[in-house]
Amino acid sequence: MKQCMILLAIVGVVSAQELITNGAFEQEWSIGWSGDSSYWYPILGDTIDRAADFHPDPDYEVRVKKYDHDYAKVYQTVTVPLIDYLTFHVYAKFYAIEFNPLAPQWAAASIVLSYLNNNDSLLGETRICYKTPHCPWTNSPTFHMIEVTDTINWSDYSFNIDDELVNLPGINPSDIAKITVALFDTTDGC
Amino acid sequence: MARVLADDVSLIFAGIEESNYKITTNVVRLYTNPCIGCAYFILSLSGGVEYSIKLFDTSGRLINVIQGISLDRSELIKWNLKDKNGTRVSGGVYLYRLETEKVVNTGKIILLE
Repeated sequence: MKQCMILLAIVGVVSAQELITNGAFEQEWSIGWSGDSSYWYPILGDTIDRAADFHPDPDYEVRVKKYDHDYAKVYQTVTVPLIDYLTFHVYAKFYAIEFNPLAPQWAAASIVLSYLNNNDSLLGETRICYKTPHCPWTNSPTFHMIEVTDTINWSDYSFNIDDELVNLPGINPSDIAKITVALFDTTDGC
Repeated sequence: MARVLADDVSLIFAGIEESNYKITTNVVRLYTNPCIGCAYFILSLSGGVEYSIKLFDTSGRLINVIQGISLDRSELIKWNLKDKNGTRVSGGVYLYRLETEKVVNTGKIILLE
């Protein structure tokens, strides 16, 4: 008798899930995102806005602009599953200027990934950033900068989170339960 | 003054689920499909395998090729929706063909404007 065997196996299959809500900003930025500023001065030009003409493509983008001092940000926190299989991507453009290069004032435009534990305590950060010469940010075991030099063009920035954590040896990857993604501008008097 | 502009922010989890499946040789899937902005191929190959993903329009014209060597885990390969000349392709239906030494997978990409 011929035996037929149907082979079934428990195998791993890949599933993909977008964790960011409204990451393309095709809806109002307040959907999925929150805004915050320590010192909001619209009369100087502080702005969080969304438009279709920041980039030549027909879809929408968001802009965060900060003058004078303190910070402004648009951010979203997501709960993350296994860090090993997370990929971050953003299409972005950065600009910062010190209006008086002789003064020790600085500015930085950035996209920040903040790694949080279950208690929402900050474990460390990755910052894709363009910063002016007096900006005091420096790398550490829990703080890693991906520095941008181009302030003219839009560029894609993409990395696997587990690869990026190699640059943050002060973070235990298994402690990460959430990630906050922020468009973050900060200035110190310029 | 500081200014940051952003679009297409994504944090994609390509995880592993356990399920009862017949063993197949499907090693690539597209995410998302239909796609807007860019397309991700989710590869599930063993490590160190040379692969190519050829992209065709519906007339069969080869418009771009993505090549690489697989990691030892699932990975996302991005197609920025540009042809080999760097020109963004228009909306419509495209075909992909993943090839390794041992596997060929094909599929359809629906690109929305």
